Amino acid sequence: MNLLVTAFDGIAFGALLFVLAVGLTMIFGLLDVLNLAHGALYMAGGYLALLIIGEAPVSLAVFIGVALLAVVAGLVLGGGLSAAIRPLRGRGHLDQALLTMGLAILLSEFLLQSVDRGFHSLAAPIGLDGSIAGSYPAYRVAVIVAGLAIAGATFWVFEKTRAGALVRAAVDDPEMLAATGVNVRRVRLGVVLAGCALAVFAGVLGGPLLNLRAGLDTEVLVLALIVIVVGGLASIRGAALGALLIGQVQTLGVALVPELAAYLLFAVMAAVLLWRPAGLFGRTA
Amino acid sequence: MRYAVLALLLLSASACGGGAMQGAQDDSTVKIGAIISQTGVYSALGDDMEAAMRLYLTEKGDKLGGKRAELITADDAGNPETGQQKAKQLTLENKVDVITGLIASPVAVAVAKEAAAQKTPVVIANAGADALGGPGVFRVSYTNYMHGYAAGKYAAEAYGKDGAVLMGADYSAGTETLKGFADGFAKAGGAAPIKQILTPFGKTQNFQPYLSQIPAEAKFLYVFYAGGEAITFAKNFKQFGYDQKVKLLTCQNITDEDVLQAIGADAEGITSVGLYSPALDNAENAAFVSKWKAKTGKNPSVVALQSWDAMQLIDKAVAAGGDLSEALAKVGDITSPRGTFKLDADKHNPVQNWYARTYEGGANKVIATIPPDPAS
Repeated sequence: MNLLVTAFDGIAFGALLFVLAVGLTMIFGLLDVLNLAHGALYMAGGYLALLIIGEAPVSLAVFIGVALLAVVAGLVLGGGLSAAIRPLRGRGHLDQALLTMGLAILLSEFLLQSVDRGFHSLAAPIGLDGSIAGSYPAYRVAVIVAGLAIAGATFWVFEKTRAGALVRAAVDDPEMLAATGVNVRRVRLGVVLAGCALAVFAGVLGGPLLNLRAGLDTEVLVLALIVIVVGGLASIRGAALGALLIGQVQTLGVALVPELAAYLLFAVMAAVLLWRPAGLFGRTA
Repeated sequence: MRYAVLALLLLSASACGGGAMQGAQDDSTVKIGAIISQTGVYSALGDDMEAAMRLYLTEKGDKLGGKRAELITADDAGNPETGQQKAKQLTLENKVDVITGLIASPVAVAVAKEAAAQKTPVVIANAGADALGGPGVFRVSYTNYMHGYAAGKYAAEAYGKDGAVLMGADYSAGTETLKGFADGFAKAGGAAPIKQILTPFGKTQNFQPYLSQIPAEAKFLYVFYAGGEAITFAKNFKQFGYDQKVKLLTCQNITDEDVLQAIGADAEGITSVGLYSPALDNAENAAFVSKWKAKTGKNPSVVALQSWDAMQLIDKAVAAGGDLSEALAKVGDITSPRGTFKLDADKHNPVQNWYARTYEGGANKVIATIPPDPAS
């Protein structure tokens, strides 16, 4: 019984990780930019919500409203990121890493300055702040539902719509796509905006689960990087499976072998990479 | 790489600040070097620490022991190497008379080593590592062992003599506190704990997998978590319904002022053992709480209290005159908002009362006083 609860909780963490990581993996796939500011974007969502609603529980409608506002903020920040990395196109990963890392430090320090350096936590919205049968937080079920909805929507867009087809084409062969008269730059911009919006949204979604504090940006960035490395870069399916796997490693894995809790995450990552060096769904170039 | 960039920034910042100080020895001024985490994970505690020290100085008209006092702060960023560097700078360039502050234990250990080399006394305002203390090192906070020991003695009286499960973060503060608990519990006639659950320090975002390991025969749980982990633990414990399954006793950090607001309603009813509560009923405390509230709008945290007392200890030692290191050892009873305490003769650690406190309606209400062991 306890282990079932633990495994279910792993799905909740996996759902949050997916919303966080899917944007990171698509930005990498399409622009060949590893956005190290992704964790800071997540943090921006949490602090934005904290500034607006504080730490007391609010109604579900207000909470959803704040989450939508976070999406808007993500679009704006994504526009800024896109403009910042454009001059560095073709300058290699190290320059881009330094730039996005610098942006991450600026953004996270700005957030800490605008609130304070202390510990904060968002409360789950009213109605979801209780526990189911007195033993499982209702909000975590809502996180799973939200994660599934976003995963479903992302798959649908990528597999069934023209926009998704353009993005897939831009990943596979940007030159050929450009030759057919499509503005590849616009496709890239769209993906950066969507990825950043999802990251900031994830910050609100995860606010009641992970505390807001200095250092949160690096912590979630590392988790997201592990998810996409395990899942395979530039693959939505990989991000989904990677997120679910890492979610289970962090919960069920820890409950089964608590002695190894500190190393488990990296052990699993190493094992997956030994087995499939490009990740579960990655394509070897 | 990110840390390398940060370290470079810090280095250049400190290099700019250092040159301007002149090192003339002046007998009418006492210089205090405070090594505080102003950035990094402990920076929230650092803010309280500096605010309390400055509040004390303001109260005393910027004088300690009748001399003009100058407080020079330096940022350790939670890093021992940085701390040691700052200690060197404070002693050699700024010629401080005493070093204080010190939040994280690894930083305190490094700084104490450097200060000993420069023959400058150290007053620790927070770091709890058991090994600290001795010649030239004075501590107004607590040792981790004593923190747990007091809770162990209380638990044997209030929670029963068996069925104890211990849980904490797997680093020195966690394991030392839990060891102290087991010893205090045994001293008061308690049986050996039936299980000890250690969780990776600083990486645990979800305690459900660990809480699920509490054996069914457990009668109560004693836990040590601080900062962000304290928030996550308190919320998880309540939201996964463990408050209905097992009684809980915690270290003081879980219901300290830095985390209470973030924990919110889930903190209600948590009982902890700590060296202070803003609700303590004595004149010193009433004055301290009202001054602190006027300045910050909040209740004072344990770190704020300890930092206030660090200045109080230095104040008294300077007033006594003579060699500061010797004077610090001879201060004797200190009338603190936590109640009267003194430092022991050997290791210069506080001999003090501990309090069992239950968090109710926005305050840590004191429900029992745990006096120090005659021998310790």
